[in-house]
Amino acid sequence: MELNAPLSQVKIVDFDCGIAGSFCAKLLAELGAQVIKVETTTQGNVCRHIGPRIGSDSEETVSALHLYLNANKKGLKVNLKNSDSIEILSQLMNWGNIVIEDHPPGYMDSISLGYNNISTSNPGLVMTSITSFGQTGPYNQYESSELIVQALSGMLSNNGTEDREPLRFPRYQANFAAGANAAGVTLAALQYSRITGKGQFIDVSIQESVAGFYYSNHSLYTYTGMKSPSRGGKELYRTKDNGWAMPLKGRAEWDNYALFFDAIELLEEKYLTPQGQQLHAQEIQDILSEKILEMNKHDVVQGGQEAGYPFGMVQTLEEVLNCPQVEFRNHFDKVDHPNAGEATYSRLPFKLSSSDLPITTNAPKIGENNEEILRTILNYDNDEIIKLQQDNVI
Amino acid sequence: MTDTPLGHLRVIDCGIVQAGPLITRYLGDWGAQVIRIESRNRPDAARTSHYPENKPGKEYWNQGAVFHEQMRNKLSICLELDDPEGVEILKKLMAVSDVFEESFPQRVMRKFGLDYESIKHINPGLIYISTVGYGHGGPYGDYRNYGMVSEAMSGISYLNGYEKDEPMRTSVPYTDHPSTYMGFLAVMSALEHRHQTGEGQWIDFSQYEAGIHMIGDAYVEYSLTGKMPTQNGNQHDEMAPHGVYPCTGEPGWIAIAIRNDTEWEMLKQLMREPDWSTNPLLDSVTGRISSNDELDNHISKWTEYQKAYELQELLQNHGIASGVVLDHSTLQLDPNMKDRKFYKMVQHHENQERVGKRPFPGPSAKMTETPGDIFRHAPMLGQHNNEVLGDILGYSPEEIERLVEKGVTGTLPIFHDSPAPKPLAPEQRINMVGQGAISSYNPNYRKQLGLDD
Repeated sequence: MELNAPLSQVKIVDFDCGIAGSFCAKLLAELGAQVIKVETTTQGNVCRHIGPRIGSDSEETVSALHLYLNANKKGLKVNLKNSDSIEILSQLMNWGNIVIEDHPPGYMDSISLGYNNISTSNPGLVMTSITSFGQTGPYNQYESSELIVQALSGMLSNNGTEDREPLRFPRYQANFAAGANAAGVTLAALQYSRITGKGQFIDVSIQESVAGFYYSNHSLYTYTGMKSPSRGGKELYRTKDNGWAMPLKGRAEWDNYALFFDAIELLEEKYLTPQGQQLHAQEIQDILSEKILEMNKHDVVQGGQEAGYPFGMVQTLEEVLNCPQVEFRNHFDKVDHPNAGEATYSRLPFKLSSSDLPITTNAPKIGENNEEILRTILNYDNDEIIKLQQDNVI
Repeated sequence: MTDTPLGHLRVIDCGIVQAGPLITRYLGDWGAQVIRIESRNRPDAARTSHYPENKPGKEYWNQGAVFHEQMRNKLSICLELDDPEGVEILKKLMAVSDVFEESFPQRVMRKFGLDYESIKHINPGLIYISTVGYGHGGPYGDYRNYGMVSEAMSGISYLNGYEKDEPMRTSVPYTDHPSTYMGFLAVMSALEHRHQTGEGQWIDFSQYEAGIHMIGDAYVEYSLTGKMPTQNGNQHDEMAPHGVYPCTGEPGWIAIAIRNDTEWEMLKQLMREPDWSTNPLLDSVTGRISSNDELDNHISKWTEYQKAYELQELLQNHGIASGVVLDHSTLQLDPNMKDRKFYKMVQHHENQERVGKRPFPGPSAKMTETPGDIFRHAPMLGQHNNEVLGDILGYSPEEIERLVEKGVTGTLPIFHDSPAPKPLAPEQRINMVGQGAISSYNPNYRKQLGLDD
């Protein structure tokens, strides 16, 4: 961890979080915060069991999602069934500046680790709770999943084609969006706590996190009553090398745009005005399709960008990994995992002039840092740690 | 104003569509004073998109919906950077600010002497964030970008699409959206760094990399398994049924996710155990996954005559994860959104002709001690010239008058004398539906949203 990393003085407890909370704590860990990932059951955190099993460790299950979400964190395992574990967790939350959790509303209070319990002894604490639908409201006890919260947040309606059912965004976009939102607002509240000494509880809803970040479709409707269409299947054109190009016109002049593709047909009178282009959109698409099918995708992108157009293409994951821009900016780190092999990690999507922010450490094994955390953070001595082990508290 | 977490900050917003202005919007929602720098010669395109009821009125450049959505809680000042005096004023503002946001190609800021290296000596505590498509430097550093393009480049479009189908772009400029939260996070982390060290810094943000980070788990998976994930539609590798099913009326779809065998048994009971559902193959999740298409067909026939909200309640009451598919015409009416008062009705200035009040998404989280808010509506062009130049920078009324006469600042866009754009005729709107430019039009939206109450 970088000594000059921006969050090097920030201490965080990730309380056995699912996807949204883990992503939130992960972003803060990448910024150099000291993050303790707490796991509370023998089979380990829920994210270990989502997606294909990685590696051949017989003792614990590891998924790619788990590895991604928990890199750069330290691991503490406690046995929640033993009430002494609550005391340890309470001490840990008193040490922290920030607690992140994403359990159903009411759960933290039920195990005496709610905000009101901890803030009496740690008034500067920021506790951020992420749930699908918020702490309050008629849905607060609803069952949820990535698909369900994409439905109720408006995300699904922004994907797919008009003639088919709404389509899920890939992977965990809603949960990640809420995690990213939560990370930012948590640091805003931390600044307030740094200045005033006053901490607080933050209620983050995934439904609201997603509904709030789609703005232009929202105001189109509230100002005009018109609804945005589903645009899947548009603007992507098959190329000669079996890929897809996205030749977005942007602010290009029509003549220049048409000539770039050698499409003199598009210089006909009826295509020259924006109204004409809208009216004959299908014909234009057909003409462009034919032209682009004769080109390679890289030539479309490079040639287009050289001419000042915002062209792009669909890249596969393999192509992104080999992309010269990614290489130039050193965007991926490789971290060797003891039994899974070498994994490739995306870094944060920004460079800070103050510090380099690499991914350096694997997600911890279950309870990997138990002793270190108890000894150096909570000041337990050897005998006490042995007793906790014997009593099956940790 | 109530206590806010960022009320001690002054922010300068030079961002262009769309991630930049949204990052500063979040700063404003949490109490920061955000000053939007605008140009009379090149007015923000968001100022002239979507007029109220599609009728551009007097001063139509003060009515654009997208501008109102992005610029609430901001002050507006006009500064022409073609004039060296405009650049000098901007530098004076940077000297007394905490955060500066811009999204221009590097050569533009260098030309004006406003890049980070050139200005950091005038305010070493300044947090300077640049948001461009591919980040600065490198072979794509000067590439032009829109959110849908960096979505395609990042691998998201490759993973997106219906099952066993082709890659597909989403219907929005997607990377813009997560970039706003991660850009805000970057600024907040720099603020903590400044709190610890007193030093500001430069944040070089890439929307392309934001897209990559949002599917970072797929990259880890591919690197370890050697198997590239592909588009999987609404289906799931570990759950079935898992899909989106038609309903009657509005909202017209419901999503259902059956996470285990118990929930499948419950769903069967609620469907009254039709013959097809008693096939023993369907007792296990592997069996159900192998029959996904067939299951989806049968379930659709069960859902299609039901109302989505009623079905959601029935399923949730029996512990089944389900949710209606909301869009921007229905989100604001959702009982949970209403109960939590997520959308805020904002009353606009009387000169923002016919805008009146409109609902906007509120702050992105609920802080118990320092709740954010929409403290003020989006500004009119140059509305705060005097406040910013006079109160903050100490220019006298005479000096401001001289700057107006010289054209360095002002309140009227270059095109103010030209004829206003025409209102959208009803037949044009019908054509737009036919051509797929919009999906539909609801003539009762004002009543539905309570804009006339």
